[in-house]
Amino acid sequence: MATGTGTGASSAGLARATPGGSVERGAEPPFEEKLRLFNEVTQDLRFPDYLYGCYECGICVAVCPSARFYDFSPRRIAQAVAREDVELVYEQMNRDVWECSQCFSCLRCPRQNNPGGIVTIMREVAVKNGLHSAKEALEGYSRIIYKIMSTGTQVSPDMIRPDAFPDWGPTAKETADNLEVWRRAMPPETMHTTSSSWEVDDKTLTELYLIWHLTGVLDMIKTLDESLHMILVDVMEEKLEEAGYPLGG
Amino acid sequence: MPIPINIPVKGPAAAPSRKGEFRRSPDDAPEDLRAMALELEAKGEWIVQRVPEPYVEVQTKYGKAKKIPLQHTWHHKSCGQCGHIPGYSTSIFWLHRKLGLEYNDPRDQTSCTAWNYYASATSNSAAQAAVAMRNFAAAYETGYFPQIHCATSYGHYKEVRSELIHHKELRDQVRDVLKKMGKPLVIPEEIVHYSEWVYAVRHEIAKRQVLDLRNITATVHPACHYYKLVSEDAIYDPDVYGGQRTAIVTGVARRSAPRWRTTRPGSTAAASASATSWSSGTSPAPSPSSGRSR
Amino acid sequence: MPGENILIIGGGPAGLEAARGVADLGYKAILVEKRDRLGGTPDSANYAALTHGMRDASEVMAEIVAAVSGNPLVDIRLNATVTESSGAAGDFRVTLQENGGPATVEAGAIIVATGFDHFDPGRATQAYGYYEYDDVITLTDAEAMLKEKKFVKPSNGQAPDRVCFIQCVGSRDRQLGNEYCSKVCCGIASKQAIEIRQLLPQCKVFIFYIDMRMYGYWENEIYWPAQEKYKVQYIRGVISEIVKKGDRLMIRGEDTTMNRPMEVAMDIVILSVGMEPSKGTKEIARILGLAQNKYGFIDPAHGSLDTVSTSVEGVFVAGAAAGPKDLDDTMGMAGAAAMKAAALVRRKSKAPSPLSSPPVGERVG
Repeated sequence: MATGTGTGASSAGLARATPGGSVERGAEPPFEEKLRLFNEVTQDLRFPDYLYGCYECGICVAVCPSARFYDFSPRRIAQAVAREDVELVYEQMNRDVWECSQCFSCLRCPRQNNPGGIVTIMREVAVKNGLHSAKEALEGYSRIIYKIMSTGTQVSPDMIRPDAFPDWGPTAKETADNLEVWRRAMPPETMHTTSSSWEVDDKTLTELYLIWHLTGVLDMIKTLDESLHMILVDVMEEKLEEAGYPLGG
Repeated sequence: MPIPINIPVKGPAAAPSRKGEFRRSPDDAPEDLRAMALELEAKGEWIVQRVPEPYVEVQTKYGKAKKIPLQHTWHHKSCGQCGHIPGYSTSIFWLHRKLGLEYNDPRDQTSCTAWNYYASATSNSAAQAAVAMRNFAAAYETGYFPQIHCATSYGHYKEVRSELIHHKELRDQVRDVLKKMGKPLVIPEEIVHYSEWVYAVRHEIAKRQVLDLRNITATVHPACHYYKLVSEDAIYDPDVYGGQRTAIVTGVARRSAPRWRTTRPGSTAAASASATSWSSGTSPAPSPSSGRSR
Repeated sequence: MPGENILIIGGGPAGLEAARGVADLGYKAILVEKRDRLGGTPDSANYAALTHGMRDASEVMAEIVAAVSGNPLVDIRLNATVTESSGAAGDFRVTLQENGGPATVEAGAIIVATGFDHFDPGRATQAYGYYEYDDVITLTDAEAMLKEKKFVKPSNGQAPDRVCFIQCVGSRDRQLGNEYCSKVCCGIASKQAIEIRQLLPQCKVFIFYIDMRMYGYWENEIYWPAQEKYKVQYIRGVISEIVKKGDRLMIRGEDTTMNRPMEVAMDIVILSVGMEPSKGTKEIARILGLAQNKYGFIDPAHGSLDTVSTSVEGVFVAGAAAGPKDLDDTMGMAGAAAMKAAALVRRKSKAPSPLSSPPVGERVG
């Protein structure tokens, strides 16, 4: 059965994760709520392929780039879920999971566990349930979500700003100042864009909206950022209605 | 102080003959997702889009052949490349034209959205699979075969293929979503990365060599999502890293324009800047070019 | 009579012991070996000392070989392989390919003792670079050096200062499909660690492991002395990667007991490779139609209470052809296989036993 080791450490960890009180810290939920979140993680259809058992061999930690920079351990992620340690999993969902870089080096696990994949699921549950940590970790990320949702592409040329990319050296400014010209100079016409990675047809974008509408992605955005959700819904509903897709449900 | 790291690039360097040469056997391969995709097609579950001819057969990790189409390809572009490193995609198209190989650069393509998914988790497996299958269906409708530029898309699509093959409920859900937009459920026979195409035409490219780059030192960063996700379905060549690692995927050569020569590695400015960045310890590692400005 | 012959395939410890058992029971053994000499893997792979007991491997093998060579009841066929088989229990007809061409032998029962192969570390899931780096070697490579009493870096012939073993290479690995434990590698690595410390007292020796599996007396006879007397360092955590730095090898792993990352220089890294069914085992299983488990080892048909009967009546298995085995298990199985094979041919031929005891099998038959 589930055990609750290290709840004291948990509170300390959470307090530490809160930056300068700028974001209000979520109240500690009752055990039943943590158990519900835990079950949501283990009931994901991918979960049986992501966790078999753990040897504690440490291979995942040795190859993990995040383990080098943070107090993060893919082995602890796997162990916490394997031990059904509801308290610890909740704690990890509030902190550790946002320290993973999702590079999937840990897939080298001899038991074929996928700690990075478990993190993916834990993050998804954190976002879906509007966990404080998810809002905090993704603070400042809204513009990227807006970018992908509104253009169908993730990275746009106009994101290149010298302040955002100091390591790009002097070319970043040069590029940013003359972006339109640079982009037009490129042979592929699909890339004559500045606010999206490439040109996406309107029909294509509408189909993408339909996918998000039908698979519950917009609801996830709502728990994360209500104002972003409102903006997106406005744009999308209009497009979907224009295209004649029924919006019921 | 740099510590020399020696990884032999070609063949088993100076390996004692008693070790011989390692050859993988198809018997050691895990389940063959490509064969399973064809079985599902036979049951009427979906369409498998066949690799168009002519194609080149390359060796994957366990010696199984993978078909790489030379032309008539649908270019699934990359957000990061098109957005910030556009020379990438431009070069891929340029190479096709130089070799006289026909291709399609579509506007009916979205991001695979996996980069956002891995970063923010603001999606789920059904949405991710539906986005992948919408793109594949769009390619199928044109008759062109997908060539995927992005390493993340490539790895993610291989994972999506595996999830769809193993979970009927996911297949049914995604088929239903696609049906609403009038698209069929289609999986390509092979999931092909642009680097695999480059590998397939490498000798043709070499024939057209103009400059001798042998003395250029290059750094290779095989993208995580290229070789860590479903790694058995990637190219392994006994002549590259002795067949022990994936065949080279992405090379970056420092250009030799004058301004890059003004401060050489090891000069005071470069060394101190890089030391400062590293000592902070909390930020991601800076790129080697940081601090090496005019 | 031919129906009382017992064909034994494989001239390693299991086959030799089975042949001795069959001859001791008064039946004729036909011992088929594909190499030009007897002795099996301990001989071909140049084993030094045997685990446990630390007896010299060539001495032990010479003793077992001597027990059958020159024995009038053992017909030894070297440079011979089995190519075909027909018939059933009590009346098998088996075609051999010998130096002089094909030959047919008749036998009432068959004992398969075709053994194992060492795992090829080229297939390892971690980046160990066995084919890239001279100083990354396997237990077998190390064993050959220890037999010569000369343990040096293959790259430059110099004595090492730091040596480590990495356990479970090719075993307990779902990615490779080898989910089983190979049973002997923990003991062999510890034995070799002791031998290295004896040869090179200044050399530090480390063993990186997941679990140390030291069954029974291996614990007090090998594990404890290695730790207590020879100061071998046992570190819990398996290495994920080996990279050459200068003329040394940098290994990377996590010390999971101390919860800290490791990046340590070594002169020689020894991969503790496990067991896989030999090519011969897979081939014989195919020719004789024997059930194999998912790894290709021959499946004993009746579980723990009968470890040597296979899915085909009259065909028995002994040793590592049936899965990872140490020498003790192998010798025990060989004796059991000889006994069951002899009982079967006596029953089938309905002739009185050469030892003139009543045919017990008839009563239950």
